[in-house]
Amino acid sequence: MIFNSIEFLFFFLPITYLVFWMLKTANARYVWLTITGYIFYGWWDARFCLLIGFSTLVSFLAGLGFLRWQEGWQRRLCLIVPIVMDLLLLGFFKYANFLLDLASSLQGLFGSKGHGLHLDIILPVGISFYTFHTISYIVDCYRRVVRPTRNLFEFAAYVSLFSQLVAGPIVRFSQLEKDLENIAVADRATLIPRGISFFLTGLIEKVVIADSIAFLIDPHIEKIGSMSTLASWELLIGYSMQLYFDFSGYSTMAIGLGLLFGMHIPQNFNSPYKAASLGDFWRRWHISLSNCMRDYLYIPLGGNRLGIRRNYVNLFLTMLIGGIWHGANWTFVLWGAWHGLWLCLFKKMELSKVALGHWGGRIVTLLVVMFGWVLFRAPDMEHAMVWYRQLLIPTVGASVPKEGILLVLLVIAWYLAAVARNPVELHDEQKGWVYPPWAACAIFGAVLALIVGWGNSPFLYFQF
Amino acid sequence: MAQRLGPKRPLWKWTLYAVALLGISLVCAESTARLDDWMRFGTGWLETYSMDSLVLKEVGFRRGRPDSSFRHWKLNEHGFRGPSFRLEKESGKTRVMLLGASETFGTHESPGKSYPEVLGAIVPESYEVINAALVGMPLAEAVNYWDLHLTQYQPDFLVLCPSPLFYLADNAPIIPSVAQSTSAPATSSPIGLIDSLRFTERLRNRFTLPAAVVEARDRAKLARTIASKEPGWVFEGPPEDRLELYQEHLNMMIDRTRKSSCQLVLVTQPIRVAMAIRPEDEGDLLAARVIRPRATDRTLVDFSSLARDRLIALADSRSVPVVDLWGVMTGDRALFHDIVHFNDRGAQIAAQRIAQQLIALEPAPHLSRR
Repeated sequence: MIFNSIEFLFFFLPITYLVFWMLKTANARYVWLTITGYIFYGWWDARFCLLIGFSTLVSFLAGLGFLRWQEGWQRRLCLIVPIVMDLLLLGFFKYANFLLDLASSLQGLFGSKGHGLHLDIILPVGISFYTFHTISYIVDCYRRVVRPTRNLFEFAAYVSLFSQLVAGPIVRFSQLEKDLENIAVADRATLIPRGISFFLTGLIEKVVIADSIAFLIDPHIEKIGSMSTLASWELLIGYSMQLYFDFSGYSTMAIGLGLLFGMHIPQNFNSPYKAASLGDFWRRWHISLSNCMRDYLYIPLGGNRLGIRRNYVNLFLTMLIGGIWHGANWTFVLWGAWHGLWLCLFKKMELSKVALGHWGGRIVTLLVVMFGWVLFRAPDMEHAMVWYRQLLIPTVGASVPKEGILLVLLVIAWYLAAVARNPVELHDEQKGWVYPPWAACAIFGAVLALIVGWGNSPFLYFQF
Repeated sequence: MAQRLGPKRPLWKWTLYAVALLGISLVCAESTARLDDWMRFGTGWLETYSMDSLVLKEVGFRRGRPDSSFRHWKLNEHGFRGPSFRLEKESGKTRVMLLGASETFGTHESPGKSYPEVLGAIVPESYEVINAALVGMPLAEAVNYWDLHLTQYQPDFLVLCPSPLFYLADNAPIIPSVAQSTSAPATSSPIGLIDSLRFTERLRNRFTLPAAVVEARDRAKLARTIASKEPGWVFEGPPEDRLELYQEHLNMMIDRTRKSSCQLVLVTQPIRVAMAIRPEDEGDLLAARVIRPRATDRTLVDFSSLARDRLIALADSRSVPVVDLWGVMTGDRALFHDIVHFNDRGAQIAAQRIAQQLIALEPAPHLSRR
């Protein structure tokens, strides 16, 4: 089930909401959120609910272990065993075929015939996200950042919270702990208007902006080799906008849905196309992932504490692993490496006091990010190389049909992404505003017309 | 938002408030649907948006409205489905025109999979395939359509797939009069306010009622229609006069195409229902009978079979080549969407059969020189 579907908007959400607020005790609300989370997830494929259930149980037991053993090897065991299990599951479902293909290619390289083995595996939606949730909980418990919960349903509600289950944001237990503890006394009246406003803004981002751009560019990206250089640039800018509004839209909806159930899900996008350096970009794009990569990978690797060379290595490795986390494909590996290299370059420039200036920095950052999106979007390396060729070597070819409409959409999208206030600034608790009822109804009507007309378009980040 | 919805408001104010909000939602939904249609299909803001918007009424016949579109159906500058083309035939090309009703127009196949489109893709490049079919076009209307409009395209082949079930309508199909000298009323048929709303059209397209509800509704509608007629109104068997009329119109098409020096190829129309009606065929027959309430299940099937026999016999006697899709496809449920409309697989088979026949028929030298 996805947020921009009829079944979610007219059945799942109203029922979940009404029952949730009818229940009075914290435990009842945990149980209800857990049940609805599993229904939400099981709508896609009920078999994989077992996987979340297993992952949840193992992490919960590890938490109890941390409560019991304050020191010693048992504590380390409680850290290592569940993480290894989570990573094995993730590795099997997400990377098994990639590794098998790699092994086969290597065999071929050394002269022997490749095994050609390929497993028929379905990638469970959102496995990378909920695995991150459980691992972050275990590590934070081990580090004593959070106190493990003794309430299985509280923990299950955290892992299976439908608003963040399949595509993030990657919310750490410490960020929701307070809301979970106060779930029985949440103040509905103050949360609803902001929750609805966030949700509607997210729907606009996804259904109106991202999906409209996708309609105009998707078929032509598939045949990028026949497009002109100008069209290839238009498609790249279009994809950059589509990806941002698609994922930012999802995250904004998640924040809104969280508020409807008394949860304060943190901001995941902070106008990343306003970034003046690549480091700044990663502090604004998919913030929850960047923070996790920083706290659970970059800093444990040594961060910037072990000298400048080691700092470069750590930056590069963190981004490379971030790339692999996104998908089992060489394009993602290269995308991670591309960002790693440029982060090192920006770091070097910073140390050498080479200043690009605000606008210079913004333009260079944007170009680096957009060139990276080619690898992110292309189904394989061959396609990516063709796209790069079309971008860099002036080529005569087809133009994008409905070019005028696309350009108008891109200008609007660009303004919203790089100039205007972002949804969190817009609906901020202190200074922000909420939609009046007539505006909320107008937005809902408009979005509904598009959803009914074109069906449910899945979010791009569901594939990760 | 919550502060404004105070609990002390009286009920009538609440109701008015709710109605106003609903109205705002609907206006925005309708406006967005129109904007979206314009963006995706180029449909004008005020244009009627239904299958009717594809049709232009002329005196004595109907044709496709040039440059119109409805959902994924787009008509070119000539009012035909398919890519743009020049009126004058390219030298060395064999022009093939397909004529028929919705089965030929292509209503239920995936985009690009209707049988004329598949045919265009599988015949050699020297063939140019034009789909001149129109939804709801009976053979009787095709006669004028050919005479008054299609001859200007000078096709080498006319592939005609007539739908005999039109001849089971309440009134027998007649060739419309072209005697009127007044200018053509170029309008589409009027539709109601609700029907003209794009948002409701989207809702109808998206949501279908459960099969059991549809069946109950159809049965009730059929029973009401029959009850309102005099006894004997229902065709208990295939009506001979309608078969004669069908044959007569076929004959006329043969004459007219010969007069235009065009090679006619006749295609028999297959149906999903088997001659020995199976339980699974009943739903299709009921849906067909809602449109043709005069026919019983048996009459529909027998009429289809007899029309096929008449077509083949006539074609034999007048030396017209035939593609007998009825003989190949009838009764195979895997090839159809409903009783007469193909699915992708059925369209593929139909296209292959027609392509074989076309390639086997060398265009007459005097035709290809034109």
